[in-house]
Amino acid sequence: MLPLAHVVHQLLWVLYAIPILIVVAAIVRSTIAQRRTREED
Amino acid sequence: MSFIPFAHALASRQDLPIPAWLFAWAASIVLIVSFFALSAAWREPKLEDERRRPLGERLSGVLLGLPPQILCGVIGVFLLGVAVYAGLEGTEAPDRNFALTFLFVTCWLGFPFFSAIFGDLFRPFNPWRAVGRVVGAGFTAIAGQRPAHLRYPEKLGRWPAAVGLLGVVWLEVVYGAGGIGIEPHATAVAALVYSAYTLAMMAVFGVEVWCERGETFSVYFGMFGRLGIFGTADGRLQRRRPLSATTSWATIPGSAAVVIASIATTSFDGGQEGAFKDVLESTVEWLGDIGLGLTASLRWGETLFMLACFLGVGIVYMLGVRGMRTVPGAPSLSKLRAGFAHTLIPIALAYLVAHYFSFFVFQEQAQFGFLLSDPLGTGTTDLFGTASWEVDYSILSANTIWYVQVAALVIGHVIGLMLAHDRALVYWPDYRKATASQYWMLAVMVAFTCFGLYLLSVSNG
Repeated sequence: MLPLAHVVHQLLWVLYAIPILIVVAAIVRSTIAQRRTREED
Repeated sequence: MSFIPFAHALASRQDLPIPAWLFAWAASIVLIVSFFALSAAWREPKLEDERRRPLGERLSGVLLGLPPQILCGVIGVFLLGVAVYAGLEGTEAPDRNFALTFLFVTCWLGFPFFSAIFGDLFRPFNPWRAVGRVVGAGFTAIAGQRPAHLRYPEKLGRWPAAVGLLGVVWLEVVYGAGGIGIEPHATAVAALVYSAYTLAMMAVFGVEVWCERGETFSVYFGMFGRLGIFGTADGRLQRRRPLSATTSWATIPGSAAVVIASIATTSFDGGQEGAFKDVLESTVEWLGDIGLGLTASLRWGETLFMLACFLGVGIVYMLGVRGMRTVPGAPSLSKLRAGFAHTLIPIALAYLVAHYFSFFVFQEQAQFGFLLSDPLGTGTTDLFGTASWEVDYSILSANTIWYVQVAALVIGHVIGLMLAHDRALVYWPDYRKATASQYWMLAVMVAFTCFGLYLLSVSNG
């Protein structure tokens, strides 16, 4: 159990990074879509 | 802040209804909802005009006249003198000596906390400004002319204050590494060296110019004072729109570095015994392997981490700024970088409150209890009959501390979003473009919120 607990502790930051990744992904997607719309116009 | 060992351990254990990381998710949702609410309801700049309203002339006279200025200056010089004397002559036990708690807790944390509400409270009590003004007035009286000063290099801006801010935290956190923390004697010597340096710079560039740009404590506390509702102008006390004074703060070069240094140093201090502990230990071990002694390895390791935090926070902010630059009609990169720096001030305050508010509450009991009665910590004096008081760590539960930390971070970042949205409307009068530019600042705010909560959750655990 101990090594597993250690791994979970080490990877705790991933849970905190998920909201950041979601927001960044949404922004990148929206930026690409806007750029494509501008180019089409 | 490390000179009171095990202070956190004395608080009760956390018992949260949901895992701590879920608070980060909830905080992110609050930020996203706030962002869209701002986009929908806030379509023209509201904070560029401070809308100052002068308070009564009599009140201004009472609070800003020459007698109160002299009184506040004398109090500032006296307290600095007491702290230096206690540091030089008092006990070396850091928690029993007046110097450390007074300088690193009461002043270093107290002025930001209260200035953020009431406006810049440090300016009237600034001991170096008081001495500089008295010397300047004496020179004018004797020589019959005002002292001449060199022109301050504009490009240098607030960089000396940013370096000084890193230096203060380095002294407190890094210099004392390997022992029980910074010693009172070293603190007193540092205060004397800083006093000599500051007075020399004031003589060279002028008192007010140096306080506005180079004097670390004036710039740092004044930055938080911009959040407060009171200010002075034309010799009158004025009430202003909350937050509005921040919009003109970052016009001086190097201001962004000051606020980034504030967030970075708090992050470093919060992470050094928590989230960064393992990596820090490996670095120190590696430095030891290449031939450095234990103390040198610790100091170099921590110094590198502090600088890495400064770089990391700066890079996250610059990514946000670069993202804004991609929106059509954006001003230059340098204008964006300076133009949005003030949006980090509430975040710097939020980090301070989140990381240190419980420490402040605990240590102020010591400050106004046994340290006031026995400033040297020798156990032989009891000036006010409070020398036997102890710190009551039970007044704040671990859960209360956590909820205050989460609330501080969320509120600070929502205010940061508000300031950024308001400034975006100045640069992009079309609110749709302004909103598009702020997607990037939303990412910055979410990143700082989650990072802050991660640091706290590891430290608390």
